[in-house]
Amino acid sequence: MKPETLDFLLAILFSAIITYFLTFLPIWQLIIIPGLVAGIFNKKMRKGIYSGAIGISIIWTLYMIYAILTRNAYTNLDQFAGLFFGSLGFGWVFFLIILLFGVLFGALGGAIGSGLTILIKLIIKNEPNEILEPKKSIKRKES
Amino acid sequence: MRIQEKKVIKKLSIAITITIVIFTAFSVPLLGVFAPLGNIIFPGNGLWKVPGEVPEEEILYIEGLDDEIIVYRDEWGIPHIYAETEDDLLFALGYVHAQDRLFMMDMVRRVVKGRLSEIVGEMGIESDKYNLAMGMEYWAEESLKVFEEKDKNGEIDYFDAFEWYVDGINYYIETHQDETPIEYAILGVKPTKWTLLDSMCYSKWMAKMLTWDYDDLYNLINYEALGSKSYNELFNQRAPYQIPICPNYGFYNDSFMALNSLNSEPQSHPSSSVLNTVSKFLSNVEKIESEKQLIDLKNQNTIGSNNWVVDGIKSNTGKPILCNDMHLAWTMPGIWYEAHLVADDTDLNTYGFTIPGIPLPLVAHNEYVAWGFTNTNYDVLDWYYYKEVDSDHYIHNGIVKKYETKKYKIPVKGQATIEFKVKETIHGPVLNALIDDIPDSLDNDAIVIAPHWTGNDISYELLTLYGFNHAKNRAEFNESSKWFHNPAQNIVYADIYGNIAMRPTGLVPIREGNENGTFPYDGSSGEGEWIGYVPFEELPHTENPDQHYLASANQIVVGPKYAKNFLQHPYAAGYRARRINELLNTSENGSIEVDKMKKFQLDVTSTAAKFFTPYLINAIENLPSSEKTSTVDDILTTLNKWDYEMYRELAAPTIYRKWRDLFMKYTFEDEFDEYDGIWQPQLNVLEKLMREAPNSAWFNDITTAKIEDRDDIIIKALDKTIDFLEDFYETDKVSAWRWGGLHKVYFPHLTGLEALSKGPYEADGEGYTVNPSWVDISEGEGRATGGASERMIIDLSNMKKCLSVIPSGQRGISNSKHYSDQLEDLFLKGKYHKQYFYNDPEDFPEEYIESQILFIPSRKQDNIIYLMGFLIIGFAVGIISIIKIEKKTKFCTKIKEIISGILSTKNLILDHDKKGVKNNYKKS
Repeated sequence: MKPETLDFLLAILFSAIITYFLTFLPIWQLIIIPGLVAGIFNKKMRKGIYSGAIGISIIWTLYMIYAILTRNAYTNLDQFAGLFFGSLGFGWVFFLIILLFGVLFGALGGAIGSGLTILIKLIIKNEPNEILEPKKSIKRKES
Repeated sequence: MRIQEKKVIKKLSIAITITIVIFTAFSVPLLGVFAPLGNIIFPGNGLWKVPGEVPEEEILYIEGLDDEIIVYRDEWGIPHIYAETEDDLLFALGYVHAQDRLFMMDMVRRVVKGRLSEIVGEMGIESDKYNLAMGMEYWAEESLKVFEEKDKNGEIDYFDAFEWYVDGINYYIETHQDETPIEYAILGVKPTKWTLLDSMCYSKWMAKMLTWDYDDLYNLINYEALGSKSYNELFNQRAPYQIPICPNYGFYNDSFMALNSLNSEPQSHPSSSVLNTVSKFLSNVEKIESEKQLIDLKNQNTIGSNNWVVDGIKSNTGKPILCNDMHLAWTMPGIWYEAHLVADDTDLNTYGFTIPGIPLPLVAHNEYVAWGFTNTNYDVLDWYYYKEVDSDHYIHNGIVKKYETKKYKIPVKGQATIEFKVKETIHGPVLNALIDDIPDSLDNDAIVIAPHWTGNDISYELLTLYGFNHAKNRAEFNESSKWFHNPAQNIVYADIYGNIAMRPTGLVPIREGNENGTFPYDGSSGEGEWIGYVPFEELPHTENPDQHYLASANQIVVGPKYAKNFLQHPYAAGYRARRINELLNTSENGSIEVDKMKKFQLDVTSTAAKFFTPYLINAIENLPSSEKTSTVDDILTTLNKWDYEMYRELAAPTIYRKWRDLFMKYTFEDEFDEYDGIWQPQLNVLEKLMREAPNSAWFNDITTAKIEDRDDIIIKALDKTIDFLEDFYETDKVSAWRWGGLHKVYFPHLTGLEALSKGPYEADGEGYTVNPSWVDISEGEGRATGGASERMIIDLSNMKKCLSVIPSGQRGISNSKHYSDQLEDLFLKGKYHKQYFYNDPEDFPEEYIESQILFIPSRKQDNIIYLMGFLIIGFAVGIISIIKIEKKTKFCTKIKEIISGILSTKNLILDHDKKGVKNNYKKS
């Protein structure tokens, strides 16, 4: 397995684990952390975004399904959606919306995490970045 | 800065900006009142933490308990609590009350204590101010002081148990701060500690719901509008066709003479300033949501109740059977919470309807006695108006007096705390000053209005409830009734010895000069002063009557033989009472069984229809054939076949009800519009006119030149009924006019949120049937939001055969199966559940146990020993595990390697940076 792939998978794993533990805390804003951590693991911003998004969405999906199966949480979701839609039966819309925001938070965290890592590396190491410097342009400069 | 860095910074800035925007959007309170959306919907927060069902098994170690407590919840989630002592018992009751109904409990105490604005913001301010000014919290506090004093003096020995009840509630609140009902998540608040004062506030809330009104003020407006003769004809105390609750005080003659035998006149004629002030006050009161709801509920006769009892001669069991269904506004969750309480130390074994927040059942039965309530409608509130001298003084009985003042604070969500002052006269708080713009500098015509209400006094009802639940016979029960002051109730009673009784009891004022409190009094002239209360011994009551049954349905309490004290003004039109009396009276001795009682409670035969419909049929039959359209013929056929049962699938109830409403409207609307009257008379007054005065002036439409009589108005109402129903049902096919299409029942959530409400459902009956559901169909489909708030049938021959049901469920948690199971599976289908009345937990059938809680007493020392033990064992296990892991995996060595690796990388980077600096230096 390539080291980059390993990093990517580890990033997903770590973001998922952190997301899981964050579900025990009543401060939802901390959900940016799993993405940030996932981003730090990846050298490429795109992979940081993917790993954050995947990590959070997996755990949130499992969490919500578990809550629906064990706590009848779908009824709550449906009733809450009813406040916006005016009638019951739209809980699934909110389910998808929540999931979508989970993906978004993971992606944003991942982007920030990997972006910051890349930036720090650039500043500290003074090295050109692989992603942001397309090979062609490097060649052109070299020529 | 290099291009790469700039690009990264640009992308980072975009990501950070989007993050900040989204996070801010989800962190801002919705509409300034509700919790931020993020706190509600994201996993780990809000609605995901709501505990749907109670755990199947819970074991709780509680410090200070006397012994173990077992709580079995049955298939409907009803707790059966078995304890050795009553202290323990009430602790467990407090716990399960909070577990199932915390939000409801919180809301009620907030209403009484003027703390609604604290969670709903500005929209609660008016209601908070008004409720605080009314003085309910103040008098709850005073009542609590009396109880504490009685406890200190040793007059009562069970006050500790009430404190244990509060502890039970608080134990749940403290241990479940993160698992609150969805309403807390939506409002973004946490439940706060419960106090005994909060429980005391409940009795004030019940008193307000059942006895607080503005009738005297409305009466004055109507009197002034219509004049003495008309007013007394329509609104006099002796409303017709009443069957008194207590049969031992005679019956009224139904002639108009009897109707007018007690004329009511204001003691002095109020000035135009008074009338203006009263009108303005009423109009402002109606703008306060809580008061508007109360006025509407009263106007719609939603608040009322039925109870009746038959003795062993009428019943087929040889013992009494007692029934009760209290009619209140429906809410989700409902007001009542069923519980079965068993305590060995006081020999208590009681099953009944509690109100979460109050430590004992209000309506219940134990192994010896059973009881139920209906509202007496005794006149326990008078309004007074006074001349105000200046902002600090008013005139009472010709003497200038200084107001007393009370200061209140209302914390408001998202705003600064509001502080305000309430002025009080000798009778009560000046309420119009609170909501009207009364100028500080006043001329002689400045008027203030204040109520004198028995609710603003010490509440002893907890003494009564304790006595009732522990009573073993009639004498003990009767003794406890003395303390039941407000809300005054018709208390129906039965015991296993075969006794039946009815005691309409409560605190009833006696006014100077035999005044009857119909109108507001001139406080400045000293009118209508209360000189005492009717002694308990002088209040009417009936025991073991010859008729072998007793029934109350908010009708008049006594007949003409009771002349000693004036008791009441308003009471129900009497149709429910007439029907119940008919059902019980026509039942053969020895024929009444529990199943028959079920049919009686669910009865939707309309006594009103039985008397009104023949007049409609007669008027149609007398129509010239040219005016009899095919629709009119169909209506006639439908009505002729009808047996007055108001089932949802029938068309006859639709025709009758709409026509009756319009008949009432066209009889009185013209005069009331002309003279600015505000209330129409009760239906039984129209019945009286219809049956005995077909040419009454009230039937004449004063807006036309023609002189109309009863039948003209009947036909006019019929024509409009046909227009309305053809339009509403979009067909002239009479059989398609189903009553259920117009008549629905609806169970709104406490907050009014539709998504948490239940219904609308099609339903049988209407406001005047024994099974009531008051509905306004003036604009089309009507939704009844009040009716039976519980149904109970107690078989004194075998308490295990008792039945009950509530129109919601036990749990106020909207995602629980017990949120609306009784409503949907039982109540709407006319079914009941059995009361599992087992006095020993070992006898409780296992198949009925859905979940259980075991409370185990624990002591502080025990906890410390357990904790130390756990720590030592945990430490030992940890050390052993680390040694074993190290042996197998060399885990620590690997960690050392990782750390040294990190350190060496850091050194390399530093070296690299140093070299870079050097190179740059060289280049430059």
